[in-house]
Amino acid sequence: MGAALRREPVGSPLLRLFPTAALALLVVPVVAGFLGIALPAFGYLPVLGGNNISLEPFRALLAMPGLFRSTFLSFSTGLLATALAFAVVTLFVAGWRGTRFFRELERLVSPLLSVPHAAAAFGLAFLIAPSGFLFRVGSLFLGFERPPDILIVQDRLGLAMVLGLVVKEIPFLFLMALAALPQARAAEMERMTAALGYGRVVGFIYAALPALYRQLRLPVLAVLAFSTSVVDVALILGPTTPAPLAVRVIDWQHDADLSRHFVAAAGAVLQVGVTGAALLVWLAAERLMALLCRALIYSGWRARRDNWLRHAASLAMTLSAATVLAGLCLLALWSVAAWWRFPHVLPQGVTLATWMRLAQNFGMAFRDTLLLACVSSLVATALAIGVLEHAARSGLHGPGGALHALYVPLIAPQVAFLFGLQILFVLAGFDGTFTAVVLVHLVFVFPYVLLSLSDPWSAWDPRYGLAVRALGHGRNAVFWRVRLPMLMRPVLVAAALGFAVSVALYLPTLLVGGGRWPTVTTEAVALASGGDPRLVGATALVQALLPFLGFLIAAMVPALLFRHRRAMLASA
Amino acid sequence: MSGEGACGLVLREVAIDLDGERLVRLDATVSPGEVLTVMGPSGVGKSTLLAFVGGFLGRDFRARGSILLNGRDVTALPPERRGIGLLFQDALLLPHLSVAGNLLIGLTPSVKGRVARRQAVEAALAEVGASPTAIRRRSQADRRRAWR
Repeated sequence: MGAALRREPVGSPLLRLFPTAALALLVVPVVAGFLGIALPAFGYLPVLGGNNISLEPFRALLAMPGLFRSTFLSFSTGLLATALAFAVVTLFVAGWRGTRFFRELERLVSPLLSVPHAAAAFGLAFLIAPSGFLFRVGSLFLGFERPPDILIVQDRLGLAMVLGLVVKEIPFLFLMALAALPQARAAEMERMTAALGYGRVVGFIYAALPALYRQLRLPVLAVLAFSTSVVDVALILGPTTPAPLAVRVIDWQHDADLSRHFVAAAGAVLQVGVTGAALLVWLAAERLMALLCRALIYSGWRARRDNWLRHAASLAMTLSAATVLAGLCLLALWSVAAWWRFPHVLPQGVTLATWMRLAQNFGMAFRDTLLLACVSSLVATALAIGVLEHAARSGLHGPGGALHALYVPLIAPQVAFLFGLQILFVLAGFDGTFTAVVLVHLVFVFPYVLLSLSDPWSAWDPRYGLAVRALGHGRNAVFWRVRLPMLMRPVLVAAALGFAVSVALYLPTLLVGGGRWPTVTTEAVALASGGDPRLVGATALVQALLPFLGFLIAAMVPALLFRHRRAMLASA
Repeated sequence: MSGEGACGLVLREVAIDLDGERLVRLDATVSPGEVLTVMGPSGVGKSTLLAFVGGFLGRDFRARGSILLNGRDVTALPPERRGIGLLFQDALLLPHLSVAGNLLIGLTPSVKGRVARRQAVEAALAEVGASPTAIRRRSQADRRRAWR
């Protein structure tokens, strides 16, 4: 059957609520959050004595020591991290697509992506710090007895923070690139440019990258917005004198002096400006790169000797993956280390004391993490299924208009709109409630769940539905008895991804939860300043393992349910 | 067929357009037991005609005319109430169901009750010589028989 069968009739009125609810979820909190910071930033917040509109908060903000450096740090580290992650992913895809090595790394994407930023940052710190694993190994050859006196983690330039962001954003951009590659017709383009005598990497950049980048632009901008306003990674790896702007906004917001709330609101507005400026610079750089590429194409430069570039890209990808995995191993080692003095490469004794301490003190955080992650991922998955089913019944491919709205909360700097949202929730007496925290988790969980599910949902063969309807079953029966069971595996994977995103959320839980909903992530980050490395290792490891648990369940349930259905297992 | 629409399938003044271009124009009557073959090159509208008859025509198409099945006008009915089945070229079995499950989903609702429906399926399986284990597992042969 041809194209005539691909579209089904219009969706039901009840289903129409799903896209409306999804759009509201994605847009309303961001708009409300920005309004929530705009008024205090201009001095208006009657509950704190701000009854007049004024520029005083901005004057106070500008008088803050080190403000320019904080602002520049946020701007420069965000841009650098995004540019590096994007360059590595692009060059790797260009140089290795279709190879066995590429497929091997493809398999690592999901596990790497599921490691929370904070856990990866702690792992990196344990790896590269002067007393870290690399220097312990180095001491075997260089013979030093004490950690070298150099500032690596929390360095003034923010390079450790950039590295932490790069290793975590590479898997995300790689996954997005993998999803977009079929539409870029990379294989045909590669054959065509090779036939014309172009090198593999340059041929890809000339012919396939423009189409690929169109699909990648929003994810890249989301990475840039996140990197310029990140808080948890900055608290663990970033400079402290002064800290990046987003961290200082949170400090002012938590200051015992309540008048600092106005400074924090002005700082949040400045953060919006910093992220906006970084986005504009990126968009300008896009144009410049396009002009440069065009000039190179016209010049006939074919760059046939690009092997060094391919190998550099593969080295960067491998090192990035190895860094995260080695970091996880170090978290595990620290969590069972009884005594681990420098320069010993391995712990001098093994104990479960840290884990017993963790079990005693972090039970509530563990319970809250599971509760928040389960509820938010289930609600997000149900909402995503509703949106996609409505789109399918309306004859749309994919989530339609909601797809662009997905990026609204991902591109808006978290620290700005969450702070505003918290002010509004406090005024409404809604802050710190379970519903408020779940709602704000949903803002971040839902986009990833919908992104993960939309391709499998669209790829489902509509002829199954037609055949079953021709046998006398309605659209709802097709949904419950055919489409949903057949898509059980991607639905569970999307829910597991939502679970992983929720577990990793730091700022939304901290700001909207008001400290009443401690999670393993908020507890782990709180241990960053001077915490016992054993406890840091155990807490961060739990934080990293919880998402794996979600993915494990997502893999096991269909395997169990469909153990007698070879076709369902083969479609995994 | 005696008299219009008394028995069988009648396509009356069917016309289907796509982007303002006429794709199908047909008047036809198919009596019970009769086979009507629609032939034509790729893109001429064979699948489109079947989609119209089945009730699955995409929204890009504009269709006129009516479909009568055994004297009843089914043109405005949803696919599940037309009583018109579609069989695709490949065996479109539901992969998450057993052979029995695939048969049960196609069994007419007039067979009521869990036991009666199960017995009807077992009888159908026995008729084509499918193994009783087909309820849980299916072989290539069972797969083919499920479509008979």
